[in-house]
Amino acid sequence: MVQSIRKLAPSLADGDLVLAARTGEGWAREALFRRHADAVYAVAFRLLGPHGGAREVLHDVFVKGFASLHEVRDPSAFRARLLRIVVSCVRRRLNGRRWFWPSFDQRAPDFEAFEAQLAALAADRSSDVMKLYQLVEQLSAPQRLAYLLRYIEGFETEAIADALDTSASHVRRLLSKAQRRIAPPRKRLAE
Amino acid sequence: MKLLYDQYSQALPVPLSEFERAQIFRRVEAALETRRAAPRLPTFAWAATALALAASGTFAYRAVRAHEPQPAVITAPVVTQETLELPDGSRAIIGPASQMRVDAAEPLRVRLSLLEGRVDLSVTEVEGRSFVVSAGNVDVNVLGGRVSVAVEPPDSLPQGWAIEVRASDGRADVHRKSGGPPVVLEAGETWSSRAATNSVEAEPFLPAER
Repeated sequence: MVQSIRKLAPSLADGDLVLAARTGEGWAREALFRRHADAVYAVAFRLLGPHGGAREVLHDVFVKGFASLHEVRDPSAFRARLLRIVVSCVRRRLNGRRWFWPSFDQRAPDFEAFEAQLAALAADRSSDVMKLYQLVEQLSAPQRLAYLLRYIEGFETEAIADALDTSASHVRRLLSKAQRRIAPPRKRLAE
Repeated sequence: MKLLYDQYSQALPVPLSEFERAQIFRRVEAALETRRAAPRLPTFAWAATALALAASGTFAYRAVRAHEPQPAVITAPVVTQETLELPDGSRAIIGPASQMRVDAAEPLRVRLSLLEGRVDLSVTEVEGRSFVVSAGNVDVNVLGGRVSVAVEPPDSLPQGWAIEVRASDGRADVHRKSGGPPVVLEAGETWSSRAATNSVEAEPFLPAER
């Protein structure tokens, strides 16, 4: 089975793999997972920040993604669908997290792991990222997601709207509100 | 700031190791297998279940309500009176052609509503017991002894309810439902709603004879 993945995965597009996975082919699921796991994990990691849980989100995203393969209208857009699921899982986690980690200072279990990864950056940049997350913590979950998707992930407004399952104008309002709350301290940060 | 974002998004996170990736994929497959073994109920099944629960709840509620004691309305015959023995040992004699509803009849709580006519009460003195007779726009709180209440409904009177309360050898408080201080009646005193004020008169009781 592993041999067939190595042979087929590079040549098959997402659409073909999704169609194969729909028929219950385990190798197709594995190929899709290997192809998109790193990207999903990276986005989840950066959206969640120091509170962690990116591995759990990665797991949940693929369970939901594979379980709802029959609902996929455009199999070739599997990556975009995964992104929507990532955002939805992160949003749920952020909303639930407020009950458990009400403030930035109350460290989440993965805080040390996040700090350790930040150490890979230059020391001054690392502290800047922590400051950025301190600012982002003040935002509501939709504002935070819109802001991070726009300025960390580099998404266009329409792509963010698609991921958040809302309109582009709503995303613009979210970004505007987020910037109003973050801009003054961010200027100080830049200085 | 742009530099910070770029540097951050490119540097983080440290990619998953091959071992971690394989481990997570195995967990994903296991979760999918569990889902396949116990498929989730479709939406319509949840809706049907909720509907069935709501229907059975309504049925149960109605069944319980059907067995609850409903307030009994007692109408005395035109020429004779009706005597009612109450659980607290008190007695109510409903005058001829009078109508009274028993809202509550328990050892520590008696509530009667005199709809029309007259009732003569012989009330026991029980510590902590509440004995109230609702008549028109007043509540008569009987503390004990012999008390009579008479009422004429407003449809036959231009000035509204006509109520008279007499404490023959008992004690009672008359409370207007609209509020205000209660009128305390001692033995031999009578209160009438026809009086302009809440005055108490020591005059003979004039029952609403029919």
